[in-house]
Amino acid sequence: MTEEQMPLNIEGLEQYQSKLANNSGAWLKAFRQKSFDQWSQIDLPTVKDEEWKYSSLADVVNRRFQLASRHQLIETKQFENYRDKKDINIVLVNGVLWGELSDLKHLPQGLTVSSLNEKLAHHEADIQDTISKLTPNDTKSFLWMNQALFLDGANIQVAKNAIIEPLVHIIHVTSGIANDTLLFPRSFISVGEAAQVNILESHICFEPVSYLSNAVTDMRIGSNAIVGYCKAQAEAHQAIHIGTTRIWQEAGSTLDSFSFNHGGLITRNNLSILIKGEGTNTIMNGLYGLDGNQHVDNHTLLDIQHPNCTSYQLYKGLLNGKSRAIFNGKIYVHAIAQKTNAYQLNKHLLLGKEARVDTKPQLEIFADDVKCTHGATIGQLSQEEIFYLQSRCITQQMAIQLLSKGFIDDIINTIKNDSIRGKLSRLLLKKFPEVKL
Amino acid sequence: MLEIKDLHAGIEGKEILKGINLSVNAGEVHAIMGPNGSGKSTLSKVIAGHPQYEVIGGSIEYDVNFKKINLVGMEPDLRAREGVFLAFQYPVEIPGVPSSVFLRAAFNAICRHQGAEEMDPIDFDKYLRTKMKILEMDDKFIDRPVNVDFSGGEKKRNEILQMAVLNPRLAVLDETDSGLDIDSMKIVAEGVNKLRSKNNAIILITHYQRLLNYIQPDFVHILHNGKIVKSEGKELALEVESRGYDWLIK
Repeated sequence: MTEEQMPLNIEGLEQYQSKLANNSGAWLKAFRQKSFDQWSQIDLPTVKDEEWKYSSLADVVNRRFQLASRHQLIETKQFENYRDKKDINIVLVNGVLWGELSDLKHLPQGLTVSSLNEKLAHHEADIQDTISKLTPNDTKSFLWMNQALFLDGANIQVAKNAIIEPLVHIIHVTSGIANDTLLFPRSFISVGEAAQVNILESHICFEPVSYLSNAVTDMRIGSNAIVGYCKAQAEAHQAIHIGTTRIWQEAGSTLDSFSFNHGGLITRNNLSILIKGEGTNTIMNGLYGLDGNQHVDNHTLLDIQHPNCTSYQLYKGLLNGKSRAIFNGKIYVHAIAQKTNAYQLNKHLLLGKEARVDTKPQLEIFADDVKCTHGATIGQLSQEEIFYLQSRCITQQMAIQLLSKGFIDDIINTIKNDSIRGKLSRLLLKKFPEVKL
Repeated sequence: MLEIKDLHAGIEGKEILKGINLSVNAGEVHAIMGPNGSGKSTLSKVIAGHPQYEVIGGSIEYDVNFKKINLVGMEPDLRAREGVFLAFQYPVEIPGVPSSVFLRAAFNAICRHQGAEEMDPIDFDKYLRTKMKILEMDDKFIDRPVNVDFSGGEKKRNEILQMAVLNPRLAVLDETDSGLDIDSMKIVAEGVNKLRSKNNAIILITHYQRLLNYIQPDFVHILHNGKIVKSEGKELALEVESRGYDWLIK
């Protein structure tokens, strides 16, 4: 493989790969090699690709990236403020599971946490099987890059019938890196039949560095299981975050998911949920609070391959400054998926005069007995609303705060887990003092 | 308390108020009546400081601490903190903001302005409930977003509740009676009457005489084509009721 064919310009790639190969078992080695070969054959997406029409990665191509070599958490104080001792914290520093910072001992019955690298290095048929089955989506170039180069990850297993009370908080923290570092956070989550768990996966950084985080999360939800899953992207201001989340839902299971986007300069989230059994219930909610030149692109796919499934999707965006949001919500209803009930809504409040939104619902329905609705709104604060509040003694600035808070409160309140809701509210407050009362 | 002198104002370059003169003292209730399009609502919005309306000439002098200040050019929220209140003809819905949060924010803004201590949520809740009782409002109203999914009557009642909570020195009630059934109107009128005192003044803007049976004004002014064409005591309202406006404006 020569440099010219590399989709990205990466320093020290060969040494890094040979080091990876030495630490891998046969399956993982082959898996990485296969992914690397596939990745090498495709270019990075450009705005000519329909799925990347509004998100340009031109800037990325011109940069020379490094690979993380140290995995030490520097900002321990800020980190301690972010995590909550009541939660089960699973901490990965620059992509490597960090035992000292994680609660790996005394876990509740039915919950096991381990290093994904270790599990995959040995023969772990279950995980290998699931990962192989999950289809790549349109971030495939990034997915394969992650699979070729990921160092480690969190492997979380919830046993059949287990009910895990505390929140499981996976924290991917980026720390002590040089500018233009490539990172590959990865998680694998498997929830057994009829089990119940709430998971928050955070991507955080406390340093003003630029990096590209190429994150992948795979989740398998067993039949009749109930899962709350929230992804909180709070990367550094200059960071690029490309996230691929692939979820496999089996019969009768419930997924209540939330995508929270807060940090980063450019973010692309690909959430794809495969419905692999009858009678599932899926909630896909999301909130992006943006300012400055932030750019967030959410692509979601719900692939319904069985009948009697319901889904509800509400994404809300609060955009300040010159920020920009893209939403593309695809719901694919196969011919067999009769009695599907799908609802989709995407709402925005533009606070910045130069903020911009491109939103596209995409319903592809091949069954005839279904109920699918969708809608999108983009609005600004109305002068009448502001005047009304002003006439009640409230300053213009505070009127904007109240109205912004009003706009996001209902979506934040859809998060049932108190610990998750509290953390997200605190993050929002820091960035939008507007929403403080 | 309020001295409007030769007030000219309009919207989008169109002059609607063409020289209003009006003097209101503490303890008085003034009714302003007039046919559609005479400028009644414009007058109320100009007093409150709606940014879309432009004052072309004249002044709105208002007593603050025994000094006359001109309201023209003052931010609407500052006018409100000085005790000017407008009950809207069409109250605005504020999704996502519970009434209790909204009213406490408003109330505490006045406290801060007066250098008084702010009220905490528990005390405010008690205070709010005493005012809600006056207007016979349901408890569930407290947590509901301001005016969202309220009926027309509930919205109007909510305006008067806000007046009761904020206790303004000058209240302008813009068509508060429109959209109210007779029972609601009685409750609203009773609420307003309870708020009448020798220290405050009320301007009632209304199309019909009906409301004035319940809130008795000291003066009635007829507005036509942006000017006050006649001012008399409360019997003028009855005359308008029986004879219409034509005899006044021709």
